[in-house]
Amino acid sequence: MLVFALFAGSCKHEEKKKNADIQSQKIKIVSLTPSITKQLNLLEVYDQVVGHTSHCQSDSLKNSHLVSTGMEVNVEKIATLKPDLILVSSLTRDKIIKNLKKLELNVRYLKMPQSFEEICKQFMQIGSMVDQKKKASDIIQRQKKRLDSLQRLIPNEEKLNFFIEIGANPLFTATKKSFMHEYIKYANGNNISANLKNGMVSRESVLSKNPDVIIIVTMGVVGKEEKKVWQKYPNLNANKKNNIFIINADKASSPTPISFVDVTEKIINLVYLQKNNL
Amino acid sequence: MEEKYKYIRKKYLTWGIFPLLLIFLLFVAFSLSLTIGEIDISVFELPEIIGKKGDSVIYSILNKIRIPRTILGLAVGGGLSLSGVILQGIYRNPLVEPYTLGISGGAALGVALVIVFGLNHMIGNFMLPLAGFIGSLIAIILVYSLSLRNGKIQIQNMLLIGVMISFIVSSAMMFLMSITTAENLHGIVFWTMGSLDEPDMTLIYGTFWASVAGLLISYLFVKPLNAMRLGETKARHLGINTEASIRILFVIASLLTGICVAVAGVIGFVGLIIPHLIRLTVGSDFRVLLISSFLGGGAFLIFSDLLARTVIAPNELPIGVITGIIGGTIFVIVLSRTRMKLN
Repeated sequence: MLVFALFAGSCKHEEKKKNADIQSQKIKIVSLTPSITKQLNLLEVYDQVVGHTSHCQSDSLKNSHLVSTGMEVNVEKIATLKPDLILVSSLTRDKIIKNLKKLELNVRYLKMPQSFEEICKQFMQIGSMVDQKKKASDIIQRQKKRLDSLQRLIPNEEKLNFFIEIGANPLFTATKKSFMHEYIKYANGNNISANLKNGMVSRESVLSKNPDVIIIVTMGVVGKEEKKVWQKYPNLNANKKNNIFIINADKASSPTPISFVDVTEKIINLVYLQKNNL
Repeated sequence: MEEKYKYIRKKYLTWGIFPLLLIFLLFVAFSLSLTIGEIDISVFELPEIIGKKGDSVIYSILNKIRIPRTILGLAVGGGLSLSGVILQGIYRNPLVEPYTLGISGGAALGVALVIVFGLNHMIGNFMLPLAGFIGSLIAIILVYSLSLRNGKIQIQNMLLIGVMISFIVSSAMMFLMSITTAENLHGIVFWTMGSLDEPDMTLIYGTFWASVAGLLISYLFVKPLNAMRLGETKARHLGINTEASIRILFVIASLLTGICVAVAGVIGFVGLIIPHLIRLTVGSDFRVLLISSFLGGGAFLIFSDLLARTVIAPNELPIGVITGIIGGTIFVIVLSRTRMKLN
């Protein structure tokens, strides 16, 4: 009996040790979505990333190979890298995901988050996949506190009506199903497009709702051009209050806990604080 | 008399040699497609790797990625090209291609509807191809039934109705794309771009056998197709039942297109360029044109896929980029050189 108990105990111990060894081993990761690569960078596991897309910021990805453009994925290249984990989202074609699974690779699908809570949840999920749960949790806690303190800076006024423009031609906005809607929510504003079923809107409908703030989330020249277009309507509240702002699209459209709070901070600063300081 | 015999001898020599040349080209395309990629393999190693069976990376890549892709390339390239040559034959219009009649549009609309209503994972891998096939089938039925007048098919009307259905369908697609979520939008755009990435072997083999069956059945209609080159009236005078032949050939070409589009998405130019290139080389006799178009289309799509995979490696290009640029350029060069020779 005693021998059996000792044997069973040693088996359990060995199993635990083996599990710990596996966990401590650095797994090889392929990320097929730029925002997921950013999250891996935040978790400081960039040395474990062996494959990324051409849209990922690859400055820190020294061990990584290019495995995908925006449209096509090189499945053969991924197979030769022998990754332990492949992270994909809706930006990856269904057939590619099935082919990767056919090669018996470990593919994990991550849904595009629709709120700050979902961004945090996904970040935690990635954290536990790459054995960085504690780091992920710390980052989330810090960002949540930052968000709370930012909200306290907002003056107690009547809520402003926001229009957030994420595409110019056709005019496209964020509905309440998008995490970008939450930039407005955390900036204590009303999203005039929250209840739309789809993000495509007409300029006329935006003008009729007369937003107090217009946030343009587009890159480069398009943003400046769009600002000029809105400035052609002098009766628009956003114009009267000089509340038309351009936000960096790269940061605003990548859902990571840090970038989300950074963008919210920028919006709060532009709309409420900078003006008060003037 | 001597001249005539010379001409006939030359013609049959071309007919004998050209399909053999295409079979050789297809063999080369197959070999290159299976051996070139992220890991290059020697042709002589192929039997050993395939025979060994194991869990090596190269075996997995070959068996699960390259072989299915190459077989699908032959099936879709051959099928679309065959469909193109048949349709150009019955309409006697060089601009007609498998996508002119709204068949691809119908398939795309079927897929878009399924994605927008979230039904895409209802029956596993088969839902999207099935939706595409049903969509193309509805387009075929519409084109066919709307172009009937007093029980007779009006060929020119058929073409116009097909083009109109294409327009209506593309507007409906735009409507669906503008009301759906970003995730669904990605799904629709990815599908319409077309690719040979199909993971399901049943669908791949199904498409292959459907293409082969289409080729064999179309050979039963070689005589009507050749006779209709003289025009419908003259063909009728030669004792050909043009009405029945057109109906059956239209159904064969449309179903073939529907199946190819349902499995591989919309891959352009194959059905237009290859039949023309083949016709410029071997002439317009359907006895050699059908098989040559099938083999040529297959080889062309396999080569295009190979280029798409390797030209900017490790990245890949959508296959439509290659079929459009390479196919279009070759076609323009060949056409202009032929014109120069004639002048």
